Amino acid sequence: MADKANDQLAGDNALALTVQSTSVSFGTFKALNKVDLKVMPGEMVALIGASGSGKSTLLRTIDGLQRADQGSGRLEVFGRKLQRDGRLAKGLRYRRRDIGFIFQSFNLVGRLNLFNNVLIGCLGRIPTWRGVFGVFPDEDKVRAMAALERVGVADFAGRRTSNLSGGQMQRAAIARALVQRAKMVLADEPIASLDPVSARKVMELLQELNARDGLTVVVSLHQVDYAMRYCQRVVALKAGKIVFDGPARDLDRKTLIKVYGEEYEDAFWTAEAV
Amino acid sequence: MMKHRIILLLSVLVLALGLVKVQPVFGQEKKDKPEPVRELNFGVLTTEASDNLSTLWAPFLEDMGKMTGIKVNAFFSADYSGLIEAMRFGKIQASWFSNKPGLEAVRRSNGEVFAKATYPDGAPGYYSVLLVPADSPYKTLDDILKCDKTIDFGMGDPNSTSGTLMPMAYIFAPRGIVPTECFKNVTNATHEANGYAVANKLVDVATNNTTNLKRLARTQPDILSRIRVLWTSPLIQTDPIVWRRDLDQRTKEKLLYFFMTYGRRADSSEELHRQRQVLAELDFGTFLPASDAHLDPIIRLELVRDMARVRNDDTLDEETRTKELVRLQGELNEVGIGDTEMIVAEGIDKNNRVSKRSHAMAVPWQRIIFTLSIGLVAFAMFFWSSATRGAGPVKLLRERVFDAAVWAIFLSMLIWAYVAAEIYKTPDLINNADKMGEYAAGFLKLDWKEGWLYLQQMSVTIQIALWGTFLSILFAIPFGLLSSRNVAPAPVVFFVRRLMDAFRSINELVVGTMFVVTVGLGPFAGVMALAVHTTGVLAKLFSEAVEAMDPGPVEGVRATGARPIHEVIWGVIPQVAPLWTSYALYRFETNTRSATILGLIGAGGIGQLLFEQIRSFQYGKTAAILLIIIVAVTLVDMLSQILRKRLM
Repeated sequence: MADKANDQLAGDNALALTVQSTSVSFGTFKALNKVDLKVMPGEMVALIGASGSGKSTLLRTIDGLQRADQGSGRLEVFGRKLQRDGRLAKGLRYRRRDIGFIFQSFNLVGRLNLFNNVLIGCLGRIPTWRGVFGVFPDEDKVRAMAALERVGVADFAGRRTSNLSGGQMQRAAIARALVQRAKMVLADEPIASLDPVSARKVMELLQELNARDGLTVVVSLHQVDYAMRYCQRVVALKAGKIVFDGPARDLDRKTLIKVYGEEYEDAFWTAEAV
Repeated sequence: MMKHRIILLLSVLVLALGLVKVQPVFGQEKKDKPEPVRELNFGVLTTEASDNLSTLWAPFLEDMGKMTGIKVNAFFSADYSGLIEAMRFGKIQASWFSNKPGLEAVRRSNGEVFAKATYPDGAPGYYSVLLVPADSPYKTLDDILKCDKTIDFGMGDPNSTSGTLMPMAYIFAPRGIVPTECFKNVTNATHEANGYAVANKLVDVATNNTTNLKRLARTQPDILSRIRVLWTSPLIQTDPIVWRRDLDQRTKEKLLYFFMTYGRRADSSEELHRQRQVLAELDFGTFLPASDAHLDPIIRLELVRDMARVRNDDTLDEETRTKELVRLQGELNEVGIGDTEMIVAEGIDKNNRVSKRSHAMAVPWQRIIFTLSIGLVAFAMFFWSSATRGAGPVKLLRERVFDAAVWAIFLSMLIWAYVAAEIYKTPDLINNADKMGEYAAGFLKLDWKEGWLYLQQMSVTIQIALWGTFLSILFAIPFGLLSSRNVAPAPVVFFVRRLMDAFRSINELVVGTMFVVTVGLGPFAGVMALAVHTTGVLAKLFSEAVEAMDPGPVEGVRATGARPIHEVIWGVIPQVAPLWTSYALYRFETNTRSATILGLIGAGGIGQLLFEQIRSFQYGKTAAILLIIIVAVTLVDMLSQILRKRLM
């Protein structure tokens, strides 16, 4: 059913994300094997799959943090090219401004305070010299504080980032994407290192960005229950290939065993419970 | 010609007889009669930096070994005081000195003048000169002695006869002038450096001597053409050859015979010609017999200078002044008039003459075989002991071979280096501990008379270190980033790293000497020397910190669409800043120490004072300076450690 929808939209510039026949190898290991994926604006997509199935590699390749193999097709975000045939596009930096990237390990600068970390989000849009000397426009400072307020960590704005908890840091990372004025958020296992309460808070934030601000969200997740609860569409990867792409409700025991293998009873049980 | 030779041999004999007579007196110092030496360490003073004196002296010393039958080891030192102390403690038995150090050797080191060199043209001595640039407005001594503090004056080493003593005794002392009060700047350097400094107009006037000018005429006529001689001193005696008074009689005879016949008498005219050639390379004609009286003019010089100083010393009251002057005058009257022609006699033990010994460069097969066999045995042992026995994971054969090879090579290298590093001399440390104690005793009488000056100069040294370190940090930041594999592209990293290797491996002293040529003597040359060397060190340390950082935050910044420069400023630098600061502070500590050593090349600060005092054997003052350095370096260390702790 989802495949059918994708077919109809092929070649449409209005797509939020287009991944065409993309492969990525690390030595002889194929992390991604001719992956095709299309995402509509405003969709919230979960990427699931066992460790090493290629979820992270796919997200990193979309953002140009990882180069695809030669012979791969086009990678486009909102109709603009990021990579093609394994070569990074020239204006890659400008494309990236539209994409907020949330990392599993937060990737905030530990020795800066939270406020400065969030301000880093506007580096791509301000003149180079301002970025070099750290002279940020007042307007951006206001937006940074507002973003911190919105994700609920404004009280810690002046605190050194490395002293904060994982949940607080991940929310700050989301605030950074807000200051960046991203139109799409790629989240690479954003809740893998968080406690359940923080994890829910972060997922709710992502859902809110999707629902209220209309951001396209692609989030890779280990927990199938989270994927089914927060996302309408689920894409499952196995050994670098997409083995399932459809509405969350279509995920059944058979599919999950196909994705995770026979030993998968635990995750399946969680899915049943939801 | 024949007559001349007879006279010479006669003189040798007389001198030898004189030695026999003197022997018992000094024999009392050591009860047992000195054994004839099998090896003789001959000292050579290498003050004139550029000429490769060690290669020039090699054939002469080799001939000395062949003709005396004694193994002659060369002992080169760029420093007067080193040679003199070495002679004092019997580490060298004979040495070539210039006059002032020769006098010190006689006074302090139980030395005795037994011969003197003449010049190739037969000249009996040389002259001290004052040099000015060829187009200088100064024409006469009076032009430069106005003392309006406008002239930069280059003085020689404090102990140098022509560089310091002659100008002091004949120009400044008689006129009651103290150079440091008369001129804008007075620097101390070698003749070589002073010559360049005048030619390049880095100083207005500098001392020098005719020997160095002759050498310049031969090697660098263009430098000479940019120089004019403003003043020439009275004659200075040629260089004395000194031996230790308590050297055994037979060795003395052999040495004397060698010096008196070399370049004068040989089995064939070709051999004679060769010997003359060897001597000409050293700027010697032949040798003449001499005695301690050779140094009388030098003692005179010192006394004339001291008298002038006393006469002009305002701090002395009239009574002390008169007393001092009478004392000095008395000493002056006692000093002889110098060396006169020697009476000559014939006859020297023919046995002294020849002992054939091959001095060819032999391949040290024994060492090679010994080292290799130890290496192989070690390899076998390490390999055997690393074998897997009983339970546990199996070690790969390749890893075992590699590990054993590394250890065996390390061991072999230690054994190979044993000889070159003279580790076999270790027992001397204990056997000669009393000598070290005797030497150290000189340091116990701390002399704080010029303490205030030391403090001032110490602060200059710290300021040199401060700027040297600061400049190096400025350069090390870009160079460090460019030599980090995770920041810069591989070819750039390779190039910058090799450049930094070069910066780092060239010693501060060498870099400093290069800068002395461009910016003149003084602290700035020191700052630049430290800056270049430390840039090399810090760039390496900085890049290691960058390569060890967490790539995550940098990626985080990159993912926002920031420019590469922003990645560095917001992603890299905040991460490495504490480590970088710590390294920079550490280098500041090190540079405070290094800046002291830079005094050696005239880069100012406490180091220059230190080396002047060591060379003048002022151990009380040396000790005071060392104490100040220790305290200052310790304070800097403590301060920077406190800062570093707060940063981490």
